[in-house]
Amino acid sequence: MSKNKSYRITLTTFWIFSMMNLATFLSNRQWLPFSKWIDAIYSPLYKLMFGG
Amino acid sequence: MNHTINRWQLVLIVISFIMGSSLLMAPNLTAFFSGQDAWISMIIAVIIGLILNVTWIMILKRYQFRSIFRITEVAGGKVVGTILNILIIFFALHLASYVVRNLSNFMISNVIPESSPWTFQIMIILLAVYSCFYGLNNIGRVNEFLTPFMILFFICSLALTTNQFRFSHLQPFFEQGMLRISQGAYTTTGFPFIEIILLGSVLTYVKNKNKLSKNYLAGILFGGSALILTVFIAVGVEGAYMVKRQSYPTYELMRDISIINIFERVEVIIGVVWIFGILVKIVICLFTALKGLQHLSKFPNYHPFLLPAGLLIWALSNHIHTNSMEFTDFVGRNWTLWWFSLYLVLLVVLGIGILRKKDKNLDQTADDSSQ
Repeated sequence: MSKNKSYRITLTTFWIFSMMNLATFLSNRQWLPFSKWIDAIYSPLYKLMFGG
Repeated sequence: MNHTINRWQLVLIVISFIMGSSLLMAPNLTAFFSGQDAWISMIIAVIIGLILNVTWIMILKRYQFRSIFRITEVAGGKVVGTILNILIIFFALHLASYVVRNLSNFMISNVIPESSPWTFQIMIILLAVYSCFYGLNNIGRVNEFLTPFMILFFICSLALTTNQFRFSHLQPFFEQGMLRISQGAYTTTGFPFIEIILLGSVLTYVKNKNKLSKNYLAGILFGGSALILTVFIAVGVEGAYMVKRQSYPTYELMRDISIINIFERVEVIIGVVWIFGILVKIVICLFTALKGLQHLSKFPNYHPFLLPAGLLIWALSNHIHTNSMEFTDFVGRNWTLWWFSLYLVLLVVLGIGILRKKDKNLDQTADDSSQ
């Protein structure tokens, strides 16, 4: 199996992203608050649609 | 790794995907807004879900049901395609983590309150990783064997509650008004009818693609009908007030089963049906993410990504929300719009690809399904 450049980049980036999330969870920090970001984008739209 | 499945296995995967996690939560999510009209909300959600999926499957058909990761690159070009593929991978892993969290929330609030959520999270993720290690055919066959039993358990459990069904609990119809009914339908449209677009990565592995669209839509219709029936019976037996108050009304509903004081406390049967559906859903999400990563890395298989993906799902499932109330509130408000955004972006890019006749240029020889 040839381990090309795309493979190395994808696997390394994915490991880093996974470990960042794991560290965020284990240290009980909010470094990557995806839910808050999603909420910030969609809550105003939801309020517009249904009034809260 | 064998990824090939047949059309019957696909139909059963679609049914498990639809029923998994929604089966226990749908009555509460709809009744919270539309009260005794929750079943009307559910019917509207199924109709909207079918319309969205008819459009989706027609577009995939134009691209000869190739892998979604390949189609996006063909339609949008290298840069847009790669960005979209990363987005799909994130959505798949994010969904998997929510489903894992859903399971642990349920287990510690209803089944074994003294246990740790990590126990259930780690066990289900290990099972999903193990299943993906052996390929899609593995979960396809397990699902083919178990789903008929699960459907039988589900129908029997619902049938045993009908002696307590009160038609008056559903009346008066349309009392909540169309805005509240639409709000109830909104919550269950994304969850699970838009999420199922992830099966775009699975359709390419179906052996005989004749009538594939009909099979896919039949699966959605069956799963949707099961949800309508569940909401209808849950509200009819327990009443809208109780359904609104409970996080898992279907499970509570089964607690009411009592036949001559012998056949009691059988609610765990519906829990088993639900957990199995959840496993299928997690496997499909993980499989989609892994195939996306394999596509990005141009590697012959996805095995090197199994461990980091499992760890990421576990980490995400724990740090996305601090408690189950925040979790349910978030899902109710944002989930449909969040998934609809992905659906819309994909639809626009693939639609533009069709207008630019990119669907005719798919290379017939290089196919992901061979991997």
